[in-house]
Amino acid sequence: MNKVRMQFIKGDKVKYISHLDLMRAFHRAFRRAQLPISYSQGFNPHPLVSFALPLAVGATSEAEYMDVELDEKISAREIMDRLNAVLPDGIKIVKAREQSEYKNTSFNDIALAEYIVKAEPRRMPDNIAKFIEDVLKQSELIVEKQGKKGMKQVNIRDDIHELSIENITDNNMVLKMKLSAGNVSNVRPDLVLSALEKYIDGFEVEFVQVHRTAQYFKDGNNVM
Amino acid sequence: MPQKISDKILSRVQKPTRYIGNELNSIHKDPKTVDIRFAFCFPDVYEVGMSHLGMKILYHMLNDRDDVFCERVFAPWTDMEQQMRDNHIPLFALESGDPVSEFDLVGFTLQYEMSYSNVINMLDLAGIPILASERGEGHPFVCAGGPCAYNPEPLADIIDFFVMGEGEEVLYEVLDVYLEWKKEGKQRIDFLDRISQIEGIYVPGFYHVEYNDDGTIKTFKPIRQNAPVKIKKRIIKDLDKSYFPDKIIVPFMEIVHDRIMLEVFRGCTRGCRFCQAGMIYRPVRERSPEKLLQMAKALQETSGYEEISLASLSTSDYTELERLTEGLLKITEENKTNLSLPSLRVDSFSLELMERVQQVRKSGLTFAPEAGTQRMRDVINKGVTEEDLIKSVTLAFQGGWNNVKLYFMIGLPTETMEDVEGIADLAYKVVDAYFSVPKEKRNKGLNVTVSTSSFVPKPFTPFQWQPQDSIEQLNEKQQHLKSKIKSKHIIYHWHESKLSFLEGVFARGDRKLSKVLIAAHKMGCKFDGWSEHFRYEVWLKAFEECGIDPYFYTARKRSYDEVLPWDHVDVGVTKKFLIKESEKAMRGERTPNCRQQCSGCGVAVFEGGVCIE
Repeated sequence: MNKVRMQFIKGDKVKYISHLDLMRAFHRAFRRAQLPISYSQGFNPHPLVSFALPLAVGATSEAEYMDVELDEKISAREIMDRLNAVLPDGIKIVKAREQSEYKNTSFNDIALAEYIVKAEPRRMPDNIAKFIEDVLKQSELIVEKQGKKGMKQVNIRDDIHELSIENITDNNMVLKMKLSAGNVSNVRPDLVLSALEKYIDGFEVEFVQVHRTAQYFKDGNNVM
Repeated sequence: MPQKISDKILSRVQKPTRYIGNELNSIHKDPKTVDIRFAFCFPDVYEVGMSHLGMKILYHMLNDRDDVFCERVFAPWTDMEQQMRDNHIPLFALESGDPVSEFDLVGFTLQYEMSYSNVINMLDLAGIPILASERGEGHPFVCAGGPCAYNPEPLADIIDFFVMGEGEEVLYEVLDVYLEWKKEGKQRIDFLDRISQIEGIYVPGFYHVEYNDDGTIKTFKPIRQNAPVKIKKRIIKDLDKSYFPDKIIVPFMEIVHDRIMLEVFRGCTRGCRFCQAGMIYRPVRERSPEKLLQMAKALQETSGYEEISLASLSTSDYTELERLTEGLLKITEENKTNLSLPSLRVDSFSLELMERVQQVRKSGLTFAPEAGTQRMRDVINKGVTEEDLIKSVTLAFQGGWNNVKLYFMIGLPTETMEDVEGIADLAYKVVDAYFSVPKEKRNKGLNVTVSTSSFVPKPFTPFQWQPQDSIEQLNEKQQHLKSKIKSKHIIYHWHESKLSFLEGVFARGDRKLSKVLIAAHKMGCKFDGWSEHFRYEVWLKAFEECGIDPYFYTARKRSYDEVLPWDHVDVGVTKKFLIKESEKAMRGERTPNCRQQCSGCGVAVFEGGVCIE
């Protein structure tokens, strides 16, 4: 048994591929690299690979994670190198650790994610920073969210852990967000922008580009 | 490649992966370093086009040349087309993102007639004049190949030149001529003149058609000096020596055939009289198992694909099937990948094989008796008897299968309602065969699926002179068959007969149809093979506007001495043979397959495969 955790980049060239496409791309890369993934026992064996939080189609990331179990004992470093040699352009492993180094943490316990969000404002009040500050002072931010049974109203205030303006010009704004993510509560950056549009008069964004920079466990520790 | 379509646009369309390229093993070159840019166009959406084996072969083969950069082009789906038209984005190639109009050669593969409207739409999106006669110096040459090119006439006004037959050798010859021509800086017509001298190349603009008063062809003559009277198709004599890539593109999104495809042979020995592929791809030429295993290993290493499948017109007829599957199973078991089998003739060998290849169990078994009565099967020369079928399904039921698909055709020449009912009878006999297997030996829950497609007479078949059933006749037969199937174990599916009608028009059409295609395009027809986009009434309007009667092409019985629009194409199989076969069909006489006995079809002139074994 040889368990390894890896951090990878999902770059610009592959940002439109779905989570399912990404998983398939990795399975094929393991096969090209001749790295034997272990399979579960039982009637319908499945490969022992798991991914941390899925990323929305169109977003890029420098902090995606996967756990994999291999039949052979191969060092984390070698697995990383062999995969990088065969992965499609745009996907790259940047860190790999053996199980002893990341202990027994589970992707199920991921609770937070950090993003850099670039938006193009169509309309924007002059002192937008002040407006955002005011919005964050409210105890309730109600937005429409796609649930399993259609649209529903949810309060996302407590899911916004950090929100700051990194940079701003007339036709470009860059926001940094730290939001709830994972099984318990999950809020996507575009939902936060909808909230800002709803609560700030004269604020409307046209196009949003999301980049994920980190994923954290409940205790605030980085996934790797 | 630098992404040339903006995120704003890609974020507005479904499945943006269709338009981004950059897949593993796709080829990127600096356009400045090559002499020829070739746009390989598939007139359908990405996931359909990427499943096409011919494109995989020719893409890599063309790119093997340092002086050529071949890129892929697909039809944008309607949402993307809207975005492109709204934002003035011309049709682009996937690798570089460059406009197709900047290429030297733009080549379409014609796999089915219902993609013709997309060919025209793509030219329009590219900003390339649709009519060949309107293209001038500086425009790309538009060429086409593939099975539908054997009757090139409906696209005669649109395509500059056609490539007849297998492209592996002839394309290089065309490129060599192009290089020379480009260097000399001569006129457009000069290039066409030169390539018309290459065997297999047809320049439709070099010919003139004269019609009789009844609309049939009076004469078909070259009007350009040296243009050949007959255009002979090209074939690869020895598949083991022919080009095959050791790498294939691995798409990110799921495509229709998402696996390694091993082409085990070309052609077919069977001689079913309805089957165009069985005639035009003759003679049968096999690859050796050694070569195929070597290809399988290489492709698995370079692609990482989880599945290998076998491709041919009738894989059961491969003479070395046992040795091949034995070797492939060794490879797939070692790599924990799957071998997926095509529908094989069911016997004890194939059942044992299917047992080993677990996947088949889930999907069920497919049989293609094609017709319901022995009389009808003799007419079409389908060498299957009821006894064969019942023996096979019984074996399968005993082996634990309980899911059976039966494929038939309706609208075949000489077909009566009795023959149609025979389909239901046969399905019931399959049900009986299931219940004849002792309970403890069979699996619970029987599903028999009966599917009928509607017969469309095709050029270069013994049925090329036959009238096609009308939409009303086909509907009546479908309804009749439906009323005869009452068992809860049998499900019946049928094809849209309006689509078969239109397919029939273009399959045996002449060059008068070019203007109908353009008219239909102007009225918005595209993606006709997709039921949600097929607009039958609009097509009828296009025919009317052009003053063309579509029934002229489908409803008429042609006489043997009529000049057919494709008579100037030589596929090897002679008209004499087709007439003989047509006559035998009417008498219900069978013709043995090529391995049992040569029936002198004429293709032996190519000196390849089964003809010289």
